[in-house]
Amino acid sequence: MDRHRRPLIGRLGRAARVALPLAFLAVFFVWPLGTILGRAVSGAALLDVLGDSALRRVIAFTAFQAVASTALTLAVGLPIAGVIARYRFPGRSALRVLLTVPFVLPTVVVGTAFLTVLRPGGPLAFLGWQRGIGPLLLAHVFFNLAVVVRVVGGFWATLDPTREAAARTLGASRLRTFTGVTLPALAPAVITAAAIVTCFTFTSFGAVLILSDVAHTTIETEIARQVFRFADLPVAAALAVVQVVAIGVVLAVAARAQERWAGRRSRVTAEAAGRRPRSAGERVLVAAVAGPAAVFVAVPLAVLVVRSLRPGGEWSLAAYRGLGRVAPGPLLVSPLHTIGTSLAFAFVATGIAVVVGGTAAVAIAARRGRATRLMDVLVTLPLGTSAVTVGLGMLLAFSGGLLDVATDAWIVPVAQAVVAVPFVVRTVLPALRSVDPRLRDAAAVLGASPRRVWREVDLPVTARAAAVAAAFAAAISLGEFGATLFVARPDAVTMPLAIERLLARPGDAAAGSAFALATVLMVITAALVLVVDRVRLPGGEV
Amino acid sequence: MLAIEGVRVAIDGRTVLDGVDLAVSDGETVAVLGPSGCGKTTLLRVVAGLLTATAGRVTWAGEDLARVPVHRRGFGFVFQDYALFWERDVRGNVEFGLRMAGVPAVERRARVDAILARVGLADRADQPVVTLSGGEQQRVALARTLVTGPRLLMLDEPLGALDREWRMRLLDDVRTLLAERRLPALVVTHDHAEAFALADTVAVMREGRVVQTAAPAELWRRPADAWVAGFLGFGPAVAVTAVGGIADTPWGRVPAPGGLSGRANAVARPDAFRLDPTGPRAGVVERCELVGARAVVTISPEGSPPVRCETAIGEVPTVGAAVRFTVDPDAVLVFPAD
Repeated sequence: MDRHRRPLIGRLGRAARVALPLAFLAVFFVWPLGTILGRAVSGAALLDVLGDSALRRVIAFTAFQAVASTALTLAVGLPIAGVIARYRFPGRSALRVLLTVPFVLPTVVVGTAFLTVLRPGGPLAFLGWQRGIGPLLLAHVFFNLAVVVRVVGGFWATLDPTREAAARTLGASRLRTFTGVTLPALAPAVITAAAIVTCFTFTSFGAVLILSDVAHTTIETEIARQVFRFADLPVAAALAVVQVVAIGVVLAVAARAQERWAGRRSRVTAEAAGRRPRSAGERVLVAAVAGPAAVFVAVPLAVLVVRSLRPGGEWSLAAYRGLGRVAPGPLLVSPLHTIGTSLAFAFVATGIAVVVGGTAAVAIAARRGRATRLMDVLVTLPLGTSAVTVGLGMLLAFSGGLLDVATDAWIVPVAQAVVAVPFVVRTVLPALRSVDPRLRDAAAVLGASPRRVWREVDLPVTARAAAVAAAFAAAISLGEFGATLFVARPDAVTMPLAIERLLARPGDAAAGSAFALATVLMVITAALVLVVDRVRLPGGEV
Repeated sequence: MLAIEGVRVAIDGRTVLDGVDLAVSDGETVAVLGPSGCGKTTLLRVVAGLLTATAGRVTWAGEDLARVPVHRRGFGFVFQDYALFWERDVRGNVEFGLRMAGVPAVERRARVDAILARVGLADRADQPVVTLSGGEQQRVALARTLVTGPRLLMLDEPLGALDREWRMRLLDDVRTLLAERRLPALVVTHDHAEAFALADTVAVMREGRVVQTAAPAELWRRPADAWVAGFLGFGPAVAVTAVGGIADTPWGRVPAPGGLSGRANAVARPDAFRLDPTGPRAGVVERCELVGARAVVTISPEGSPPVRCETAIGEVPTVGAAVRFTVDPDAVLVFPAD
């Protein structure tokens, strides 16, 4: 705090670090959101929505499927988290990576993968499920397992196992030890994971669009329908307001629950490496949890790849060769062309997100003044705002004015960057905070100027975090669907949009193209995840 | 050479340093001694330039350092928990300051090798610092600071976290290193044995103020007040009454400073009492504790508070035995009651 006054350039640089992210988010997030609110309130659309029984049913179903998805994900994810946190077994780290893959996979790819599993000829075809709530819940569990395993499992591994040993020596059975000692200690992490999963599934869009039926639509898909089918922007805006409020309620409830547990935080140790299962019972437990988990995650992805390679029941690369052709229909360009578009957008969006999120993280970590506190809140808000809302806001705010989605193609990467910025901040900030301030002092005392201190002490840590953040941002941008749908021009279609449009078209050729394109997208994002997993970060993870 | 004048520091409205004056002359080692939270470390941070004083000034050879930033002060600082750069090896840590100073690689290597040999870590240069023991890490921290040739060395609780054996070895090392370079040093510690072993001058701090500055022997002989005496390990204070500069204590009549009259406190230095079969005073042995190779015997004399005296292990009496002891009147001090 009471450091020496820095020269003028240093102070200007600091002002820029605060001003740049604030300005970016003000123009591309706050303004669009404000526009939505204005539209929703001005024509009393909000009252119309709440008074319409069909729309009320949509809201109720959205909440229901979110709660159901969260409960299912916790039920499936907690045993996996525990086994990975506590036991060492062959393939443990591979399983951890495998479980992370779905989380960063584009929702459209996940949706497509489950479609291939449930379709005639797929391994679960015998269920006879059509599009509807079953496939939707299944996909949500698949998609969010990583959240539970990473958040709860990471916390679980840091819990001091001697507490459990103490309970056992005091006469508690295994079960009593788990319910009385382990579970309460895990509560904060479980609450966090539950809140995240509820938010994600409440605002899920791509999976709902592909896997659900007309009888089971959510707020997100209803917003899209109101815009593209009925051009009813005020109702769409009102629905977006309902979405934002609902997420706010979920986060507030989670914060309250978190507070109740805050006083009972148990002592946390450095992450333990876990131990080999000792008894036969433990080996059975590990195998019974880890095996099905791997199958559950791997099968849909494998089936997707296989279907893309067997377009007509025969092994061939026809589907991939077909990617270069422009087929008649709503897709004006070839699927191959969308790969180029996606990569270009991802490149720009990653650059924007890393620069904006990185500078915001540096400013927040320095923690000077009221502006940085405002920013801390502001960079988190897009997390609670669905991509569809971001896209709708930009569509409403940037039509026919100085900025226009109809002419300015670069608004697409900007929208994707808005979605990615919170992830970048949450990746870089813990790394920056993990830097021991005394190391900066030590470097200064040893003769390093402030600039040099940054280069020698902060930069090595920040650079790694920034690399991970960039990979995250790229994965988010490549798979981004909800926001892109609203702001992309017809000639600048991205891969997820193309996949969705190909799936909506009848015919095996279109489906084959969709599967092939989804496979390409999956391979690119999975490669990015592998990069992220290679780089170990101090200060925790997203 | 270093002068600290009237330095005040307030952090978030709380006064941490309240007008500190202190000087370190050429080749002198000054220890700042005080309980934790008294502001010792804050004082070091002000001198280093890591913290700006609210008032007062710090000068070196008469030059005010207010406008000299941390990295240009040329002061060495060994941090309490060493603050080593964990991702670098021993050499990377030790050569850091030389790199900052732009010393060419060849010379850097030679100087790092020389200092590592001096602190006994010649064969550890390429090891990651995490693999070193606490004592070895402390040596790396020392070498890292000394290699740049600082004009003042600051040590924050230099032996704090080390086990007994390492403490003794490092204490010797630090003393020799300082002496052979005639390097002025400012050492912060809460341990009076450590302060006495290292320093030419000891400044005792309490709640942000220096309450006494003196040579170790003088401090031991004449602590400024009952608090300092207590902090140095004198016995518990006994309430007495003084009349015209003389106080009647359980251990005899003792001069009270400044012709004191009224309520006063008497304290006895740990070496005030000695077991002596022909001594003038008698009591019953209450307890015996072994402290290393010596024993501390607690004796309850009739009609006066218990006293403790040190003795050789071979001469420990049995509990309950009647013993005699002598009192050194010079080791009983009287202070005005607060």
